[in-house]
Amino acid sequence: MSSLDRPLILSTAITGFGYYTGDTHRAQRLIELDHYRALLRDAEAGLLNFVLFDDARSLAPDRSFGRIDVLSLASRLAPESKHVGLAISVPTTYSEPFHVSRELATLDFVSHGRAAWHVTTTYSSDEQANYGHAPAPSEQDRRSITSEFVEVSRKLWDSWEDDAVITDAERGLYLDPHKLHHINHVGRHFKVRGPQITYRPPQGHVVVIASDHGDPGVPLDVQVADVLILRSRSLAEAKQAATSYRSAASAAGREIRILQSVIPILGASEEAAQRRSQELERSYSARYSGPAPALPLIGTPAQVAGELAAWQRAQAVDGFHFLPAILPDDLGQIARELVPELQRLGLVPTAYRGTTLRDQLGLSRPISQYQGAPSEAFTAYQR
Amino acid sequence: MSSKKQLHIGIFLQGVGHSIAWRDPEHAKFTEFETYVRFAQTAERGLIDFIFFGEGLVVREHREKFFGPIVNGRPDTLALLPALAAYTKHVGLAATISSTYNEPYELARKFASIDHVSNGRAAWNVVTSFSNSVAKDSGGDQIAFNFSKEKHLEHATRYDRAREVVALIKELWDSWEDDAFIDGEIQPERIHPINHEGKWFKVRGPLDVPRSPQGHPVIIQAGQSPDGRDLAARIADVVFSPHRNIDEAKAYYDDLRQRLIGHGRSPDELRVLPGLAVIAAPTEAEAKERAEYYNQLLYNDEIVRYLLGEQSGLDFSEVDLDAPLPELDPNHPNTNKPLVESWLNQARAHKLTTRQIAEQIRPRQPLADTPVQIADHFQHWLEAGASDGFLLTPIHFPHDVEAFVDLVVPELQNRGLFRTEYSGSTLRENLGLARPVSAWQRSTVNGD
Ligand SMILES: Cc1cc2nc3c(=O)[nH]c(=O)nc-3n(C[C@H](O)[C@H](O)[C@H](O)COP(=O)(O)O)c2cc1C
Repeated sequence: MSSLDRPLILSTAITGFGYYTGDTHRAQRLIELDHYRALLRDAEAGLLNFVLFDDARSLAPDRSFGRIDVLSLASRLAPESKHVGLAISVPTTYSEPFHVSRELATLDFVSHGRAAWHVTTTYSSDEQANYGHAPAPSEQDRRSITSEFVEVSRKLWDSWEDDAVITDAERGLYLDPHKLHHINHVGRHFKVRGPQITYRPPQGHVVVIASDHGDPGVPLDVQVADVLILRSRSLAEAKQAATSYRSAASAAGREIRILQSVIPILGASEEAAQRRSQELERSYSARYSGPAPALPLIGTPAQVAGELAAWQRAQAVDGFHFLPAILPDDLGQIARELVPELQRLGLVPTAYRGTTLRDQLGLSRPISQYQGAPSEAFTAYQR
Repeated sequence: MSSKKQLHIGIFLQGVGHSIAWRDPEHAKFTEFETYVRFAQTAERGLIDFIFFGEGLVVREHREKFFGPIVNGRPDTLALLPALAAYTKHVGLAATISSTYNEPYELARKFASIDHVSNGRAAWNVVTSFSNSVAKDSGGDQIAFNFSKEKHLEHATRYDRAREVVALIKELWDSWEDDAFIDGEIQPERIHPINHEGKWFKVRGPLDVPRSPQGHPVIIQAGQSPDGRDLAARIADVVFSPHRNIDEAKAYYDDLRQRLIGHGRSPDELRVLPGLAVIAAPTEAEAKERAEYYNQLLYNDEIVRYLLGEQSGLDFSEVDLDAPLPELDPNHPNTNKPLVESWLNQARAHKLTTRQIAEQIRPRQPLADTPVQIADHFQHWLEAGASDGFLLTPIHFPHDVEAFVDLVVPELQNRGLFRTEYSGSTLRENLGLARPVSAWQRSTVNGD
């Protein structure tokens, strides 16, 4: 049976040299557009729904690479891509919701509705040292700051209703003043009056992603995120987690999508894939201690596709977030070898559907929470 | 052939806070991304040095109400410029960003990154977020209220912070030596912490973004106060000024030159560009007619009342503009007292109506003329040492920008006053400014 009314969601991480960080030669490529241009081309060739650009706020202690701010990167490459969603990692710890929500709204504007926000926090001692703060807020505080930060951002996205700019020359109105709103947010961490100084983003709200990538300060919370990326170690574990997130979401009246992180390690034969996996493990353990950063799926493209199909049949998750072992090689392989297998199984479509990222993910476009509300005055903020 | 001094020209897409010309049916829509692409490409067709966007961190309002007739809202410039870099090759990309409401590490990496993805075309107009008026409306503390703060910093404090922000950011831009990559391979020993500990900030560094094509993105400043001029003289590559009178402009330029020398810089390390609205047309009559048309769009009674209210903090919505200025209360809460007192004094002394008082806050008249006369003006200012060019502040987009590019640029080129192709590969090179040598390179040279 074809399941194309609910196709699998596929995404990929774009993180430095890849998740196994084996090959660090020519680190300069990480600041060259051609490197990212090729990755986006692969992602679109594989009809991936979004790419997730990793970022941080300090140099790695071993100084093995530099980077480009992912907002610049995503905005620069938006005009060179057509369909793929552009998710950027932006931390909430030492930033302002007024700036961050606006940057994301404009990324959505320049990409015609393809922006997503991977919410992260700033917590390493190297990062703190660049912001003059020590120590970083606790895990619990970072989660609480992040939740409120996203709440404020959603209010700011809503502070201009969709059709606030009317350019009605006859009545002499550029905008309808009743469709701008002070948000008058007063919370534990933030106090923001609003409105935002840019328009509502094309998607209404930029897609918000929270992922389990090892930082316990990120709230995997259905109130915060539209997309949750898990890092479960097995199908059973993922299914259990997803079930509880889904019931929380339906209780809260929130639509969410749940993805599982996987590291596909592909080979022309099963033996070749196993050999590759062992090589990767060796070079990884030479640099880092501990297990692989997520669930590896090792085999031929058909075997790995079969495994993903089993997850799909078990209705464990809505899709998969690929962590390519080595960039750019593994993303190319995923796009050219694994995705066609998934297409053959009828699990993903053979062409992009929908224009905005929300369309692609099957998430509806939120209505502004202030629609029809009177503009609240300044005094409400002072209370 | 003599190598004649040439003009440098930037173009400001104003939108917010200015343009009522949106009422013209041919005005481009600020809510469409294509408008910004067209703006950048038109400027590049005219070989313009850079395009420029402003920033105001609050929606303009008066007495807690938004005002429908004027333009509000614009895209975030840091997120917009990289996308525009994709559609252009040469034109510089300048963003106005507040030094008062941002973390230095954050700004250092953003501007360095824009410089990377545009191959050396980024510029930062450093502002301290001035308030439109002393009145609370649309400025001052209302900006602070968007950032979990209770009060906007005082003028002098804002500039104190700005001095440290920019100096610190330049240190971060220098934390990677230029040759931190050899054949693409990273050289970790050529990346250095900065260990900055100042009055405002403690930042260890290094930056996580390598030194960018321009070394330092171009720094723009537009301060007029002594503190503002001092900051410009310390840090700026380009200065905007508001002067329309050539003697004032020259005095301003001379003052900046002296200040530059005072900070150990050479006076020719700075480009001074006064802001100017230009309306070009084949005949003078057409240009004047167009200017008059804009005046009507820009300046109806409703807008006059709004501007009076916004500037003063008082309510003018019921005031008869052609009657004598009413008795205003300068002590009303949130009122711009010095401004209101000065209006009252003038009205009493000269028996002025409200409309006559409003003349003072009317936008300055544009230079509406033929290409030859506009070129004469540019040439005169350049040769008199009153400016190095202009920052164009068009009232209507695309009309004014296209008319300038199609009519005035060829006239300037014929006179040898403007480039006939982009000669440099970065904005700095097109502005004739040297690439800053990093502190690390300097110490190597000295050590040899
Ligand atoms: C052409 C021009 C453009 C300016 N654009 C901005 C802007 O976008 N945002 C802002 O906060 N200030 C802007 N300013 C204001 C200046 O930064 C500065 O605050 C003002 O000239 C007053 O000088 P002072 O700050 O030294 O008192 C601009 C000034 C000029 C002349």
